[in-house]
Amino acid sequence: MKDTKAGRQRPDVVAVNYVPKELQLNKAKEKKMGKIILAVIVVALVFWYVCMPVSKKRFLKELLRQVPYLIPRYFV
Amino acid sequence: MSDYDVVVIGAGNGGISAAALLARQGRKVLVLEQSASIGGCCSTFEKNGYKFDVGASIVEVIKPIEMAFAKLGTTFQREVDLIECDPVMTIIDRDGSRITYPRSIDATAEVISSFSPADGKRWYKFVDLMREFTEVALNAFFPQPADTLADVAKMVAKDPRFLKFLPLFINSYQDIMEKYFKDERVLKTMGYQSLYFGHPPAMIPGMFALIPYTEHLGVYYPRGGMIQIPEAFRRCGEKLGMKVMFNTRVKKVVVRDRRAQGVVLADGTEITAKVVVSNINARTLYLDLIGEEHLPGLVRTGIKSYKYSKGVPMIYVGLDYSPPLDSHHSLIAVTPKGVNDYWFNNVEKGVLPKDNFGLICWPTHADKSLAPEGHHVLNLIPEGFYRLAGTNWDEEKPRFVDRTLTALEKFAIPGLRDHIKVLECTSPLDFERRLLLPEGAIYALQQDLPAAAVFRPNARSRAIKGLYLTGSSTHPGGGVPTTIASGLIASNLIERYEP
Repeated sequence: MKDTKAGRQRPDVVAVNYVPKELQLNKAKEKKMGKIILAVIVVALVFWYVCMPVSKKRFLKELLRQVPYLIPRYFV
Repeated sequence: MSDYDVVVIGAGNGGISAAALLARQGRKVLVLEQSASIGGCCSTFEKNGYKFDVGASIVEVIKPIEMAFAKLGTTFQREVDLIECDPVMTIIDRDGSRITYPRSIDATAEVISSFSPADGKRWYKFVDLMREFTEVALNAFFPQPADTLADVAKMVAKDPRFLKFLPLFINSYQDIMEKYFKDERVLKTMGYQSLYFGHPPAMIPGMFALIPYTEHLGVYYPRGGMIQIPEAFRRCGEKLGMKVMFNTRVKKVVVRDRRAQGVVLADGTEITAKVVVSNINARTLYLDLIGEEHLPGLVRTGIKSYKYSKGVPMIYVGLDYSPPLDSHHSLIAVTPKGVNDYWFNNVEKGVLPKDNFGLICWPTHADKSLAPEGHHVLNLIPEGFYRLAGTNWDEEKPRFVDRTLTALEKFAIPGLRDHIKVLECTSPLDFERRLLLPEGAIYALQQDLPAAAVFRPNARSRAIKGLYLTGSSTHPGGGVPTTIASGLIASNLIERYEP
């Protein structure tokens, strides 16, 4: 161990962040899969919303519109 | 030393029942009523020998009322002569055809089966669901406070079946109706009832779909008019020393150190009290009578976020003949979709509909004493609302009455116009002026899910100590049994927190 100017110590051996190539490929695949799953969920939600009857849309929209007021209303 | 233990502002059902129950606790109670009569919307007035109900036309789901009278040491039935209405209603279509539902569940199934056997079978499934839900609601929801999440937890603890009915809270009234009934003729008999809660079928939670079932538990009319219910509470309260002052308007609630300490009347008189109970619209209470300066920021934001509930016009008709109707209540047939269309195309745009629908109440079907011999009374509730685009109710009222009577004469009440002896109309604007209901809001505030239970103004105010709320503004909302339940809840809370 050597002393630094700031008086702290730093290790002689510095660990290298080594990731095998196969694992790097798996990570990339996982990322891609994650994106695909997210896209499928978004598409499913959009499809669900589009197919929903107008009355149900109104019901949900009205509920969502009032969400910001729920905490203040709780204290009235 | 205060003048009174409790001052109650407003002698509507919530206020007068709370006052009587508080007098029963041995408290010195004063009720201040701005008009010359008690009851508010649940009241009756007389003109030329005909007695008309101001607003409320029947009472059903009477358990909370029975609980309140039981606490007063009596019974609802001993205090008020209740006449059972059977059949419960007739639905009249524009082609003149009629469907009449008797009280009996089985007989109603037969009626439904006569034009849709599949819906007749599903009626029993609907009844099974709503029977259990009504039991849970009456046991754990209506007579219990819903001020905090802890209160909701107590409701669930009291009846864990509550959780089973969560889908009724996240689906709309229309979803529930269309799940159980497929035939348009059946749906036409169950669409209008969502407006009893002030919202169209698409906009209120499915829990309110209990109404087409609870009507079959019994629909009652008090002999002598709807005012007999608040009168009974007044009688009980006065026996216990409760005092009612009429034509006395409250200008301010006195608040010192965040505690209600009394009221100031319109003439400047100050009346001190340990506890103040408000039976008026919560927005008026907090923003006008108390003032924003006494409210924390969250409460100010919360109270301003509520919309007023819907208002309705009422047409009162005295007749010299027996109208050709079949039930105490007749509804003009309309599908849930039809009610939604009315809401989105008429209410929201301020345009009165050409083909109106609504409720025809025939109280002399149950109680002949309301009119001279051989004569009858009709209270008509055609759909309408407070805000009109490009006009106002003072201008529109005569045209609206004329249009309504002409339409009803055509397909529902032949000969109506030739037999009218007395005709009166109270518009939403008149309700605002006479009963001080802002925008004529009969249920005070919107009654959808984000304004229900813990999200409705608390029965025991958090912002102002010693202030309690009753009536349509607080849990469980607007209606005769529900406002009386609010009186019961407030009196229980006061017993617990204001020794």
